[in-house]
Order: sequence, then structure tokens, then C-alpha cells
Amino acid sequence: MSKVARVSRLSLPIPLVAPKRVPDPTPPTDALLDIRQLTVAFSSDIASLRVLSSVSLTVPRGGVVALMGESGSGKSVTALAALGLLAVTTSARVMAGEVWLDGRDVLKLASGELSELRGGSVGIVLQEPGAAFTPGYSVGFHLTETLRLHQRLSRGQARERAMACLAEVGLPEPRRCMNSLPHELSAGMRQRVTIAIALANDPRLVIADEPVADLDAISRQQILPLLAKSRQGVARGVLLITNDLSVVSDLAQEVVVLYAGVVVELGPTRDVLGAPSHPYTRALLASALPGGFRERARRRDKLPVVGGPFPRLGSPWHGCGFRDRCPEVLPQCTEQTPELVSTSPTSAARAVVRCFRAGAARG
Amino acid sequence: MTSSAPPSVPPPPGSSRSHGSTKLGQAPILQTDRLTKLYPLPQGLFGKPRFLRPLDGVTIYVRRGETLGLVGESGCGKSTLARVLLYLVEPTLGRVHFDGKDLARMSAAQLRATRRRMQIVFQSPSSSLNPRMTVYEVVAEGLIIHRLTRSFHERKERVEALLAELGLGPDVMDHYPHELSTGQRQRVGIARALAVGPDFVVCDEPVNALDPSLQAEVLNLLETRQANHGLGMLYMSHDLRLVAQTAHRVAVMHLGRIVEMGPTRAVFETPRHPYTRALLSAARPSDDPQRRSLAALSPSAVDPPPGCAFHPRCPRFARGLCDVETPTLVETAPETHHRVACFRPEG
Repeated sequence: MSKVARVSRLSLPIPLVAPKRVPDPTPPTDALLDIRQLTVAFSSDIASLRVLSSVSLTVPRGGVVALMGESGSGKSVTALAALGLLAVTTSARVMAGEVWLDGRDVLKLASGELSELRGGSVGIVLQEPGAAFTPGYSVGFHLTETLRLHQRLSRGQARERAMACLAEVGLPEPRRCMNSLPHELSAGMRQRVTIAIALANDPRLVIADEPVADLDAISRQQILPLLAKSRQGVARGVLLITNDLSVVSDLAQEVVVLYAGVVVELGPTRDVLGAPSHPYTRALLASALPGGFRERARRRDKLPVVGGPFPRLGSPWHGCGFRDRCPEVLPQCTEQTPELVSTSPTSAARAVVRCFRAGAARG
Repeated sequence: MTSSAPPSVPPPPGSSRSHGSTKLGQAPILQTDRLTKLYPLPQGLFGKPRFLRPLDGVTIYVRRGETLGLVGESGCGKSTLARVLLYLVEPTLGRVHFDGKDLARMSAAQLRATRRRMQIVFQSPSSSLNPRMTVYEVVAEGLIIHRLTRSFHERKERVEALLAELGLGPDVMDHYPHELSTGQRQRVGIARALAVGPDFVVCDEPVNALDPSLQAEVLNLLETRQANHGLGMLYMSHDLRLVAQTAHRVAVMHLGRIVEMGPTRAVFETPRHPYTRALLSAARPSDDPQRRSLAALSPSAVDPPPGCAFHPRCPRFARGLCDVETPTLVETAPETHHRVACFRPEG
């Protein structure tokens, strides 16, 4: 169960932190995307559901950061908040925190300035390409619209450029594709078109929500490098939301694991995937079909699952959100809420985990 | 004229391949005979007619209690095949036999009754759920249409139990699809398909929006259903590990044609068609030296190359043969019914 817990079941609205701003406007760091202590809640008259609690993450220039976590853990909400799209698409509100996008505070920008960023220097690939198009308009319309909003191009130039974008993502017959309506394309083709639109203006940052879920391995090999590198060969910043471990290990330098709206682990890809510190990360990775497809075809044993109930976001809880499903729960897990502690105090790379066991074991 | 004789289906493999408690039935629940679909493309008044050919002579079969995996590149015709199998789209040529009966010869009433027994989990959960129906209404609709429940309470209980099996609490029943996360919507789509107790289900990327743990839960559920009800499945996915996990046999599709078909292990361990090889090798991790890359641009389904449609990308291409004649599926291993459509198969 997740964010849609029935409102009437809630006895009490959660006491939310009052929207507070850090008094001194902290100078933006060098990072391309800097999300600080972001708290987001879906609220109605009766109750509110906190879907993100103090989430902090940064995407450096030219770096790829993967965001993982189970269905309903708040991955897509994080992406929408980073783009200033929350209020547009959902009933969610940012209760606290800051989002710095390329040195600008997204939550304070006027909508016109935001529109300049979105689709321009920030590309967006939304989950489910089927829902990302306006049904009655052709693929060409969608592409040329983005191009002409952000660059000074004539109609003809924009059409030329649009066809080049479609060819770039490996669509056969770009000309026919331009005149197609979205529903006439296959899901994989639609997904490639959404990527073509996101990359049309050669953005510095791409926020991609399951960008290759509908694509086969051959197309992935072609598309994934496009996401991470601009046409001039400069590395792009990417916030990659996916649960596909092969995509994560191929592309990302850093992994953030989200659980029930809380960052439970963050660190270099190799460490998080190779030696996860949080029991939830371990459970998530264990269920991810161990072995390649050849081994799967041979073994075909029952698949391990994390099991246990997902915490109700509507009801206030103390302690660790994973405690009811955790195989190695401690008494203090129900009483106190664990903080993020460093797992590698010596190494230069940042690696943190939110677990009492990790903190106790290491230090 | 009586119904045309269905094409031959090899007997199921004996005890050579046991898979849990699943018992493979003898008779196929579904089989097709040279299915072809043509879509006319808009042309000028005097232009030469052109066609998009997403399916070109596809012959497959699925036995009771068996899962056939279907893999292939994006745009190769997998989803079109799914629609044609269930007669959501009528084929231009060819036949579909469901439980021995030709769908083309059924009356509208017979077809409707048969539809209860064959269901589909659509690829895109957001566009396949009616935005103005609640989750309960979506899942219960089939139960009402086919009069499978006697009372409202019985219906409500069935829906609730099914959703619970998929890890969705009773709270979601009153919600509309747009209020759910993509992973939840995908599970509602699965619940909708399973609610009417089908004998055959087409699963088009049923779990791609789910996290690994939920993927495992849903696959385990499908497997249990298969073991208990002898459910036949056509499972399509780009994730080869999911296919390897679920499918007893695998069919590989390239530009509307089946180029290789056989038991999962045989196809994945000793692929014979160069295209299958390329597809499997592309799924290896990027640092694997054995990973081969393929010209990513798949030929167009409008004007497919003559001969074998794979020949422009094929490393084993033979001039004068592959670009002239079209290979047919030939059995390479009689004991496993591993078939390949290639003049110069590998291995």
C-alpha cells in the first residue's frame, strides 16, 4: 500500500514541519541539480500524506545519479518536484526544502522562467510514453514545438532538425514518423520519440523516469549513451529514475535508494550494488533476479521477495520505516528514527546509510 | 466445409523438462496458422499502394499450462501479434484457433463468450484503463459482463481478494487510475485480466513499471495460477531474464516473422539464428567482452529488404542466397523442436 491510503481511515493528520526556509540564502553549489531537505505532501481538507521527507540529493555536472526504490516510494514525485511540475500535475505541495537547478531556485522561479528551463537546458523523459503526448497532435508537432520555443528556427529548419532528432534515436523512416499520431506508433517507438524530444535542445541536465523500460537491449545500447552525452561529446548530468539494475550499473556513478519517501542509502554505484549497507537495499537487490538470463533459464527457482507491508504514509510513525519488514530489526528501530551516517569515513566518495546496524557496526 | 485442419503441433516434451508442479497439457490452447497483417498507408489518389506489414506468416502455438516467451526489437510486431491473437484486430490472412476452434468462424456471441477465456495485460497501464472508472469498476466489469458472480458482495470479495494477491490494499478500489502510481496501475491491469478466470493470457510487458521485488511477487502469482488452472500464457518482454524465468519456450521475432523458436534453455544457451545471437549478446553488461553490437537501425516494416529481412545487418550474410530467398522455419533438433529460419544457422 502506498500513497493512496484511504483518507477516512486516518485518525490524525500528520504533524508536518512548518514550511521553513533557511534564513540565509545558501549560495548554490556547483551541482547541476541540488535538492535539499525536500519534504512533499499530498494534502486534502481532511488529511495529508507525506510522500517525501527531507530528501537531499545532488546531480553534479556531467554525472549520472540513479534513483531507486519500490513502487510508490516517491521517485517520480522527486522528479516532478525538481522540475517545478508538482503543483501542475498533482495535488502535492512542497512543505519544506529547496531545489536548485543550474544555480536557480526552482521553487521561487516564475512560471515563465521555469518554462525556459524545461525543455531547454533541462530535458525531461516522463514515465509511460503513452501518456506523455497530446493525442490529437502529430509527433512532428510535438518535436518542432519544443525546438521553436527554445531556438530561433523557421518552420522548415525546425522540421529538418526534428527529423535529425528522430534519426538520432534510431527510428526508421523519420519522415513517416513525423506525420504519425502518437497512438500509431509502438510503445518502444513512442519511448524513443519522448527521448528525442527531451534531447532536442541538447540539454545540460536530463531527468529521465524509466527512460528505456519499453526498449529492447539493442535499442538501449544506442539510446543510453545519448542520454549521458551531448552532441558535442560533453557529459550531461542525468537524474535517472529506474529499477533496472543493468541500466544503473551501465550508466550511473552514484545511486540513491529511496524507501517510503526517505533516503535510506546513497553512495557510489559499485559500493551500493556490490556491498549494500541497508537491509532494504539488500532485499531489493536480492529480489532482482539473480544471475543473467542464461542462469535464469537453467535455475528458474521461486523468486525472493522483500515481503511484508509497505508502511502507511498517512499514519504517523516513529522509528525506521522498514522495521516491520526488516530481517535484522533492533529494539531501538521502533523507538528512534535513524539518521544518515557515513559508511566510509575514510574514502573521498560520499556514502551514507540510514540504519542503526550500519552505524553501530562501523563506528 | 468443416473447419480447416490446424497446423501440426509437436507433442510436449516428456519428463525431460520438469518445471515446478506445472503439467504441460497435450492440446494447444491456442495456435495460429500463417498470420499476416497488412495496414494500408495513406497514399495520394494515384499513388502506388503501400502497406505496413507488422506480421508476416506467423505460426505459433501455446499449450495449456505453458508459457511462450516472445522477444524481439521494439517495433517488430509483438504487440500487433497480441492483438490479432485475441481478435481485437482481425488478421488480413491466416487463422487463429482457440481451443481447437477457429475464431474467424465464430458468431459474435460465441466470440464474446470465448473472450472470457482469453485475456490480455496491456503494455501501457495508463492508456488501457478507463480514466472514468474506479479500480473496482475496472476489475469487476468482466465479472458483471460474463455473469460470473451472483451478488454484489461476492463480486466485491472476489475483487478484493485478487487485488490483495497483487499487493494492493482494499483502499485502492475506490480510486481512479490517475490517482495511482504507475506500478499500482500496472497491477490493476493484471487484476482486470485475471478476474474472469481466463485459460489464456497475453502479457505484454506486464511488470516493467514494477520494482524487482514486486516483479518477483507478480511473476510468482502468475506461476501459481498457471500451476493451479493450467493457464496458457504468451509473455512478451524486453527483459530477457524475465522471459527466461517465466517461459517454457521462446519465440524470437524480427520484422513480423518468427526467426527462431524452441525451448527456453536451448534458445538462450545455443541460439542458432544470427539475430537471436545479437539480441542476446546486446543484453550482456557493457563491460563484457562478448557483447556484440548490431547496426541499431532496424529495417522498416514498410519496405522490408528482399529475401531474409535480417540480411543487411547479418554477419553471416551470403550474397545471392539471403537477399533473394526467404528462409522458412526448419527444425534443427527434432527432440526439442528447436526451429530456426536461416540458411546459414550458427552453432
